[in-house]
Amino acid sequence: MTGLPIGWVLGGVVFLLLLLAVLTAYLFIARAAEEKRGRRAAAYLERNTAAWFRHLRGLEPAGEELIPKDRGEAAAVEEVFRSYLNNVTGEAIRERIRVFSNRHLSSYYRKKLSSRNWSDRMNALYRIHDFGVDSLAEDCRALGNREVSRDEQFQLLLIDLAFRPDGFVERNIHRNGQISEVENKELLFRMPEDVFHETARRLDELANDTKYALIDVLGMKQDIYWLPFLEKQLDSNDQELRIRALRAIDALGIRTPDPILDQAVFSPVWQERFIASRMIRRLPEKKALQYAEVLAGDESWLVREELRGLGPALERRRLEKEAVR
Amino acid sequence: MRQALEWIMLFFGGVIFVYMLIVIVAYSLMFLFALLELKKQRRLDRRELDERFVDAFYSKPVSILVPAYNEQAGVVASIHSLLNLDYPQTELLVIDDGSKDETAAVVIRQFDMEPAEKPVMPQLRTKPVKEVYRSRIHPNLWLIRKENGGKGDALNVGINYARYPYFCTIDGDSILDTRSLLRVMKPIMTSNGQVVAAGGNVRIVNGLSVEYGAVDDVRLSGRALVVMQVVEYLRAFLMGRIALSKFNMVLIISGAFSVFSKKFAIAAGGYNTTTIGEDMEMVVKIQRFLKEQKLNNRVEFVPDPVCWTEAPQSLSILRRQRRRWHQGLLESLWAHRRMTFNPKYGAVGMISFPYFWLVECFGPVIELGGYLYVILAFFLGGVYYEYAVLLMLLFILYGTVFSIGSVLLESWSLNAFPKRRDVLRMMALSLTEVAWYKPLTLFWRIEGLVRSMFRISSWGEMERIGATKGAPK
Repeated sequence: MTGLPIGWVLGGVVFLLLLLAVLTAYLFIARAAEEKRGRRAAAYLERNTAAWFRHLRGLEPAGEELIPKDRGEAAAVEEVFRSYLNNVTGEAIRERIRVFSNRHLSSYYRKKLSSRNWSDRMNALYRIHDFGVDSLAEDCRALGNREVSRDEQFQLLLIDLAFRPDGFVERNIHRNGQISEVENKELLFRMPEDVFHETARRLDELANDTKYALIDVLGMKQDIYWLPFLEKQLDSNDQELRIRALRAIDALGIRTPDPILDQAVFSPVWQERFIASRMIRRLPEKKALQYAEVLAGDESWLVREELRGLGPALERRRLEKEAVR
Repeated sequence: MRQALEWIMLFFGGVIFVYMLIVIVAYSLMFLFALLELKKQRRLDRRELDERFVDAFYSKPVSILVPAYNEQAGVVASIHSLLNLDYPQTELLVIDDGSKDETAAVVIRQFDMEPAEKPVMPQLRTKPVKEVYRSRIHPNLWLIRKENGGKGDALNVGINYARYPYFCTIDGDSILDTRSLLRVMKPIMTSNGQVVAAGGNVRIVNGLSVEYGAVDDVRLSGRALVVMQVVEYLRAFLMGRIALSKFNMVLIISGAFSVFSKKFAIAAGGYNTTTIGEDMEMVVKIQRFLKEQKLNNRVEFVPDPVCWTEAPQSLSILRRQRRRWHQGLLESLWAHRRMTFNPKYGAVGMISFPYFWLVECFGPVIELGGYLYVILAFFLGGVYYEYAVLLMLLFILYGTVFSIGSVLLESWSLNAFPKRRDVLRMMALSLTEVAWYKPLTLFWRIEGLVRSMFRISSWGEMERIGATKGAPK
């Protein structure tokens, strides 16, 4: 014998293969249980789809048979609610879903909120928000005080906004750098008007990502009310904020006031000139061509490219000018 | 003489043994990280995120680039799948790299295209573009015909013509699940631009039922060669890339399905047109650029979004593919060799590069050497017999056990093949991998190494089976 650890390695390989065999058996058993749950959910849906329709349309109260008795049936109820919320609008339906979820699903979600599995907690947070399970607001706050992932953090903010809009800005303004710009946009879009106004009033206290998101959302909202606010941001020292404010003004879809356009057309920043080249399309032709002449020789390819559509009109204007001379 | 032989046998036995231990430890760690990551996400209801990002307000527009060279059998189904994507704002650029077959004609006919002009920002040098077409049916679908210049050159043309800040590359024979683009874009959208490239999971389409660009029934192919490749893909994508991605050490995201920030791709110099493995080369260049500029941006692998691609069904085509892949690997590693063990490049230089050199690049030489050693040792008998047994066991451990483990991991977390019979077949074939598939691929990869020295290259033409109904023949 050479002392090579053949016995050990052989033992290890056999052990691992046996372990894999056990795991395979576990996997198949778990899958069978999952399929059984799926069948129970399907059976529940088949039994109760019509009853759910009658209940959610306000034709009859929720009967005992609608209350889910296990995980499979709870999953089926979730599918019913998701389907109605995604495809049918109406406050009355939303309210009935809220009432039922608070009464019969809250303990199920409370248990999931305390799960060690991240997916379970996230799914519970999604449902609590979507179905309006406000009886769990306190549990969600408790979860927020623990160390949670960024995805959970964002979902908790959505829940807080939905269940306690009063004081939302004050409670959460210190957290506004913790979520991404796209998440900020979603949060801002979902804000009731008064909360949104308060956030805009406190612009200087916001983290940069939130500021930029807010300006973008103002453009997306296309509400002329915000024009003075956006104009004010054009004087900011933050170049990114200025560019976004200009873009938001462009997105409002109105004829841009001349002073703003003058500033943008002669800006040293190419992004501002690029937005100006888009803005001039909404001007009367004569005025647009005046600006276009300035921008036609711009050093930025994107600015010149944006003006390409105006090429024939610019050429016509040049010929007219030459004729006058 | 006898003593010299003994010494040589002991030395090589030791080298192979140490190599095997390193690989087994590395694979075990990667398996563990993948297991933990997949466990975390296993039960997540991804529809919630999909529904959020399907709204144009929250997503970023993407230019989808489809380089195609002699892809007439699969290109139409691929375009259909891309037109069916759940994504709010895309443009689709099919770049015909001077195909010799009817690729362009088929696309023009099928999608009712007419000559058109498209703004181009020539930031990367490419072979000349001949014509640009636009579909009358789908105004966001374009066909760009260019002189043949290779896949990298075709992608560079796509980047020049791309209108949006992110571009997604898809092979001309690949099919995306409808929500794949949404899911692969998620880390990019939620990271405030920190993630500059992301790649999805690539699976094999052979044997599946596909109709007009959508996989409607997932079944395992009847061919052992294809099933082995399915297992190989599971192992490579789930086990390897999840772990590397966790620590921002990814060097490869598949060119069959990946998304890049246009700004960073151009800053890194675009696709290399002279190397064979342009997808790996692009990722390495971006990683190198990030580290040299001291930027904290990331390259990520996302396990859930799935891209289906055709796998070779015959040994000769598989051999060509593997040779090509290995040539590409060596060329990229060699081109950026100064990153190896260079602390300036962080974990990419200190861990990824040495790992890729040792395990991915020269691993086949050592492993095939191991096979030869086992054969020789059996003939020599005596003490070497034990060495042979030990090495065989290690081969089984690192080949078979990890393959079966990957199949189980996939089945448990993502469950792409829901039929139990398919899972069992994959596991059963994994048991045979060490005996036939592994040595074959090792041999082909060594061929790739040798060919690298002569820089023999091609587009890697593959006979397409056109695994789709509804694709014009």
